[in-house]
Amino acid sequence: MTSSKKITKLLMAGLLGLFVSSNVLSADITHTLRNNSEEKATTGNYFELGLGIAAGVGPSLTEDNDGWAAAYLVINGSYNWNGLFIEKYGESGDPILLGYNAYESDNWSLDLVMGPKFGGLHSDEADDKFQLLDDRNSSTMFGGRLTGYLGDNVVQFSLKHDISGNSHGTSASALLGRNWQVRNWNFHGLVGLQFFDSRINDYYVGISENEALRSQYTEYSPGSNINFTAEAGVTYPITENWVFRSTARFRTLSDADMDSPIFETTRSTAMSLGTSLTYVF
Amino acid sequence: MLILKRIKKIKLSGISLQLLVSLFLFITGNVAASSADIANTAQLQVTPERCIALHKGQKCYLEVTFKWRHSQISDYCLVNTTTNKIIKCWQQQAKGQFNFDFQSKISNDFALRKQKSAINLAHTQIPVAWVYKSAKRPKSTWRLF
Repeated sequence: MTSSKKITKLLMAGLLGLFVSSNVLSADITHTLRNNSEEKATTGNYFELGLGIAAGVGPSLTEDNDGWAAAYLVINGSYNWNGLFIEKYGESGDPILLGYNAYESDNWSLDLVMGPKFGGLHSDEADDKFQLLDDRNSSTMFGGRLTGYLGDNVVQFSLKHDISGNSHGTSASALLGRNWQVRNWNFHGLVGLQFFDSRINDYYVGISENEALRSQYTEYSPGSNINFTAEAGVTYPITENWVFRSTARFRTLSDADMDSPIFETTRSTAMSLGTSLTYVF
Repeated sequence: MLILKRIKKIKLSGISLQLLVSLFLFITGNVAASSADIANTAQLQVTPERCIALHKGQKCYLEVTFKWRHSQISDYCLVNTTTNKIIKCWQQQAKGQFNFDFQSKISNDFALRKQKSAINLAHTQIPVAWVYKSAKRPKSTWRLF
C-alpha cells in the first residue's frame, strides 16, 4: 500500500469515526451550560479556535480494540441576525447548523434548525472492508428545537427529520442540564435520551440484501433505538481570550446498532474524556 | 517733560517690582507645593490587576493583594470607592499590605484615604472583564444532535 493510500485510509477511518460518533456515540458540547449565562436574550455572537485532545472507549468500525485517543481542532462559533443564526461547534464533531428563532419568551425558545448530520461512508475511498457496500451519505436534518430555562435548569427537546432523501430518518432527544459557578470555574452536568428511528439505523448500520450478496456481511435490518447520555464538564477563563475546557461523556449503546456486522468492535457503553484550549476572538 | 519721564520711570519700576514679587511668589509657591507633594506622596497597588469571568453578568472572583505606602505616618484606610465601604484601616502606619477576596460583577475602584477623610490620596482599580462579552444567552449552542 502506498503512503498516500495509507493517509487516505487513515482519513477515512477518521471520517468513519465521525459517522459512528454522530450516529451512535456523540454527546455534543453544551455551551449554554458552560457559559452559565444569566441573561435571557437571543443567541450571542462569537468565534473561537483551539486545540483539544481526547481519549475514550467505544465501538469501532475498523479497529479490533475499543480504546482510542485523538487530537482535534476546535472551531466554535455562532452568529445571529434578526432571528436567523448559524452555529458551528467543532469540539462536538458536528457540522454546521442553520436556524431561525421562531419564538422567544422569558423562559422558552423555539428554533427551526437545519444541518447535515451523520458522516458519509463511501466505498471507493473507505477501508477495504467497505469496498462492496453501498455509499452512506450524510443526512440533512430539519426540525425544531425547544429550549426551556427553568431556574437553574435547562431543558431541551428536539425533533428532526432527514430532508435530503438519504436516510429518510427521524431523530429526537430530551435533555436536562444544569450549571454551577464555583468562583471562576463553570461546572455543568447533563443527562438525556436520544431516539433514532429504524430508517436512520438501517441506512447507516444496516446491511441490505444486495450488500449481503456481494460482500462477507450478513443481511441486517436494525430497528429504532434509544440511548441514554450523560455529560459533566468544566470551563475556566484563563485570560480574556483563552478558555480551558474539560468534558467527560458517557452513553449507552443499543443492540440495534451494536448487532450490526459492520462493527469490528462492539460495546454496550461508550465513554470519553476530552480537554481543549481555545482562543476566543 | 522731565516730570513726565520720572513718572514713567516710577511706573516701570513699579511694574518690574510687581513682576519680581510675582515671580518670587510663584517660585516659592511652587517650591512649597512641591515640598507638600513630596510630603504627601502616596502609592496604592493591587496585584493581580484584572479579574476575568467567563460570561458578561457573571460574578468574578479574584484573590488580590493591596500594597500601599505613604511618606507620612498616620491613620489610613483602604476604601472601596465603588461601594463606598472601608476594607481595612491601619493606625499610625506609613505602609501596609492586605490580602482581599474580590467578588464583583463590575469593575471596582479603590483608594487610600486618611481615616475620617473623603480625600483620595492614591487610587487603583480592579477591572472585571469577560471572555464572552455578549450578555445574550447562547441558547442555540446547546444542542444534542
